[in-house]
Amino acid sequence: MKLLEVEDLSVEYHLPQGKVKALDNVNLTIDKGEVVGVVGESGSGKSTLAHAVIRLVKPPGKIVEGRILFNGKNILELSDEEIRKIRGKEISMIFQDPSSYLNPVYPVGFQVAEVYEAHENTNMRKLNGEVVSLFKKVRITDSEVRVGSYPHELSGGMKQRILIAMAIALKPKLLIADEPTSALDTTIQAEILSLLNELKEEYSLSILFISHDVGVVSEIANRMIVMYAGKVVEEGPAKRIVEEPLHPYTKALVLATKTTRKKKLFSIPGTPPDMLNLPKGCPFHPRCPYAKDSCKEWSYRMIRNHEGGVACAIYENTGSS
Amino acid sequence: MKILEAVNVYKYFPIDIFGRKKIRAVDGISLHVASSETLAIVGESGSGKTTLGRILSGLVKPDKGKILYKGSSFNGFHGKVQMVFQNPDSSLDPSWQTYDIVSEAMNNRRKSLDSVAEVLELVGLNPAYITKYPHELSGGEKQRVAIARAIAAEPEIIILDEPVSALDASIRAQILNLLLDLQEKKGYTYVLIDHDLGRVWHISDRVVVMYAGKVVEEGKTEEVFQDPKHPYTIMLLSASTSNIPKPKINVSIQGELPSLINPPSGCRFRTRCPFAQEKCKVEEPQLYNVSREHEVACYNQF
Repeated sequence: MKLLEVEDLSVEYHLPQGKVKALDNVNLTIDKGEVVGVVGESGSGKSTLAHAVIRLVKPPGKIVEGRILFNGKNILELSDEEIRKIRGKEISMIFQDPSSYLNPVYPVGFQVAEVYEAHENTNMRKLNGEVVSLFKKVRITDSEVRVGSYPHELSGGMKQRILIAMAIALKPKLLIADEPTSALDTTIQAEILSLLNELKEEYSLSILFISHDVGVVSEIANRMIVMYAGKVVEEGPAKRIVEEPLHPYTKALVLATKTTRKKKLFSIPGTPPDMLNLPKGCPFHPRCPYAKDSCKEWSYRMIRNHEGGVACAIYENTGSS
Repeated sequence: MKILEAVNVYKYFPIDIFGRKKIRAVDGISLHVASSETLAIVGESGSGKTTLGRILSGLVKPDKGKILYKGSSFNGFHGKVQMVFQNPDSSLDPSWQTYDIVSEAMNNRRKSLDSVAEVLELVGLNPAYITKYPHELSGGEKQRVAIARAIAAEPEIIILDEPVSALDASIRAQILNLLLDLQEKKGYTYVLIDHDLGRVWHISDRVVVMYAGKVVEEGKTEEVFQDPKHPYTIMLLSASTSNIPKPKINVSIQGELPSLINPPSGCRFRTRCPFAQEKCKVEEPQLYNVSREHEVACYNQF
């Protein structure tokens, strides 16, 4: 069953220097209990996508086109009051840098309890037990003591667990995780990933997992979406994408993570595109080893097959559409 | 040949005004770096690896212990050791043009547009970059300028403190390739501080594993990765998502780094170690050789 359907979503930022199309006709679906990974470089639009799904795109950004159906309801047509009821309750979010989302002057237990207060009008004093069991769920040791701790007393991994506790407090259906492990150590990252996996099973939670690291996404995602310059360039089962990437950009991303001792790494030439001034045709063609002259003219389209798709001129005649 | 050596180095940072509470960032470390090799220092954040890097570069004076450059004491090797930091945004002065940034590291006789252009060419930037300010550069270009500044001083040793962690995946490979290239051309000695084991496996010759201010394992990268002897090393290897050799036994991650103000008695890793015994509480295991160049500090044998 489809929990989230994003259809032809476009987001623009109107900057003094010009217009940036941060998302360009993005399509995405997430089933119940499914983990969908979104991979791309900084500036590829992946965070904008995460924010757009819960309508948190702030000016100068604007959602200019598309539909976001959550449980059949179009999020873009809801009133501010209605969307506020969904945020935190049915769709919640965790971020890369937990410290900037915690208030330094309140104990963390209080901040988690606020979630219940905001959505269920529960008296905060009665909540201590709930918060402690929630802390246990996200594997915080000494939970009884920790509810009284302030953010500065906790490590980065611990703070991320607090944010996860906050995010799952009301048993949401969809969790948006925007680079949740990028600021953490490898060891803590592995723990957070296994925690998310566990919560996914327990709550049959769907997760939209955003990261620049293909390796991390493949640890947790069932399906993967690769973004470049605001467009989806490849979509498919995570395993297939890591083992047999189709789009030259995906190939490059996967190859760049394959380390061999003392040998040169495969590297993508050039730099991520200037979003104010995108190249004509396929936006990847200036960096693409397979680029032909025709790529400058090629107009973007997703060539779909039964399990996903790829947006590249190479597959123009081989794929079925 | 040992080009740089740390002999029983300590660095404690006081955290209250009376100096009674101290963070034991580096707590008795000895190591050496051989000429033209890449030595990697790995560990979680808070393990003391950055402090150790700064001590090796001369930026931080150790409380106790010595740093030897080619066998003699630290003074007077200014310029021979350079550093590249994780975040070029904070290590490059935003009001300086590339020329100023790079030429500052050169001695006055060499300062000229030509010599700056030469150094920029080595890091893959064309002369047009001479007049650019940091805000006009992308993350990868900034890091190239930071590397240019380091090599402009004609160093022998470059300390790389998480040089690519802040960069995009596609740019990381470019910068790592550049570093390998420069080493091949100029014979630099690298000390790479990194938490990513994939990168350490990729470019280092030897590796030092740090835990809570101490060295727990040290040896040739191949040997340590393929036959890790310390449970902490095994845990780090198990946690990595990079394609590196997977350890034979799997040590799952538990807990977090202990307080460095009040570290556990005995072995500091015992609070997270699935193999901890009574003995580990009482007495701290010392480094011993498991093979000629492979040392470990653990009572268990794997």
